[in-house]
Amino acid sequence: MKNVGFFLREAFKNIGRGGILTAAAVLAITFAALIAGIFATAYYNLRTIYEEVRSELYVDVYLKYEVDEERAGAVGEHLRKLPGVVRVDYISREKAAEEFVGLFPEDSNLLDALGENPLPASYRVYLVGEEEASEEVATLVEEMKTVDGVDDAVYAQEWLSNLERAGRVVGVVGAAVGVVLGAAAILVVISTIGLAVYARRDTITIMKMVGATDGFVRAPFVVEGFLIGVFGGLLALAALYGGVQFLQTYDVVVRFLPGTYVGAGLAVFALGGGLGSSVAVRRFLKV
Amino acid sequence: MAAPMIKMLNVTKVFENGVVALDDVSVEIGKGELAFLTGPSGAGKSTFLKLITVEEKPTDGLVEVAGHDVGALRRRDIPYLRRRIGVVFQDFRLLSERTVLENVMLPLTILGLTPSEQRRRALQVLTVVGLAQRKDAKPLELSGGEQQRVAIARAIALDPAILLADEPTGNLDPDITWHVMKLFRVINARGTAVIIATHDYDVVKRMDARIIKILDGKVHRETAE
Repeated sequence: MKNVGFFLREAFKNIGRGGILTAAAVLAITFAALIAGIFATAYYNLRTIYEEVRSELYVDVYLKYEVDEERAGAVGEHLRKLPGVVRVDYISREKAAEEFVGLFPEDSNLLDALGENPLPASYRVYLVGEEEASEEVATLVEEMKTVDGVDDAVYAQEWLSNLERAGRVVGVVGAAVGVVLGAAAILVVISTIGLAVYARRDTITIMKMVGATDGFVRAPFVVEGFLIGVFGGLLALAALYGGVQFLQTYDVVVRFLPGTYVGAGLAVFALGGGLGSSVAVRRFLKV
Repeated sequence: MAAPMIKMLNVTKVFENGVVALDDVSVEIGKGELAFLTGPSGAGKSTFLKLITVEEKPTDGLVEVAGHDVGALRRRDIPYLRRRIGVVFQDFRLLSERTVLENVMLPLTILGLTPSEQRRRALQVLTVVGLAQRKDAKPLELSGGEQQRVAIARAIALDPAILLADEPTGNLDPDITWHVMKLFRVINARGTAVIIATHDYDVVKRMDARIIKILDGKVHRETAE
């Protein structure tokens, strides 16, 4: 620990001496991090939309025509007790007719033509908008259908699961692209720092000859790789932030990545940089 | 003779390409001894020194340095042994982008001394070699003899038990060679075992020290001090 100052000084000096090589390594990381960041942004935004929809998620439970008020009340009580249900609103046949007219004003005469109100009474059951998978919601809906007096239960299942699937695809593709680009970035760091190490192999030999441990020789290079990773990551974040701002000026609803994503991304590229240079130094340590 | 600082017993070194660098060599060098390692180029002098610095390990036989069996030494322990061995090279091997003082401070930095202590000790050894006033110069601003003295200062900065010099005067003028040799004498007088590999017989003759002559990987002849 007493050598931390020495390692940092050496690392910064090396970055300065590295010139165009260091710049190339930083840019390679920036490029990889930017692509990964675009995927992460897409994933995060889809995820956010999904969760917002989920938080407003409700199921319409239609009652059978013959159900009387007492039975309807009992169904309501039953629905209220189901897991994940936060609120239950009763919609009488009259209110349903009003809603229908409100939704489709041009077809209001349709109801009049029928004479009798054909719409059933229903309950609008609001579900807790948490992490349950849509399969669980489907199970819940199936359960609602079995309640005595219930005719049918309907919710926006397809749309929701499509959204979730899209989120998953973006997540998986993004993760795969992230891994590939991360590995590529590490390889670039290995080769660029490898060149820098090669240029300084005499220094390494001398340090080893005067009794430096492998760790002592390696440390400044690892710090250098770490800093390259951080610089590259920060540049990518700046570019990504600029991109998000740009889209927002065109009224595209895009959110910038939250702190956890930013932190995790920076950590990955910093560690990747450190790891890359550690590998690069390795073969020059055998003195 | 005092307890040997370096002990080689039936040491053979064969390189991967089949070249036999040393063949059944047995030598003991005592604490505080001064010895010359002579012989033509390619005789095995450098390999002899590399076995001591653990850059190479013996193919067969025993090499003991400061009581440590080099063949059995773990890789992670090698740096600690090297801190007891100063090495001087023909081509000086100074770091050109660092000042004289920084070059001499390097082993002290590795040892983990405080910056002020590093500076103090580096200046001390630079004074011993007579170059304290050039501490802020870069190596390439110095003459060859001065650069070699800086290298010697670096080699003795940790007050080593052993000082190895591989053709230390190969690049130097005769006058300066003599000056450097006197420096080795001074260092030896402080109790450091000094081994100088050279094929410069004029120097060897004038120094009146033990001579280990190596020829074709074998100890050809030994002359006692």
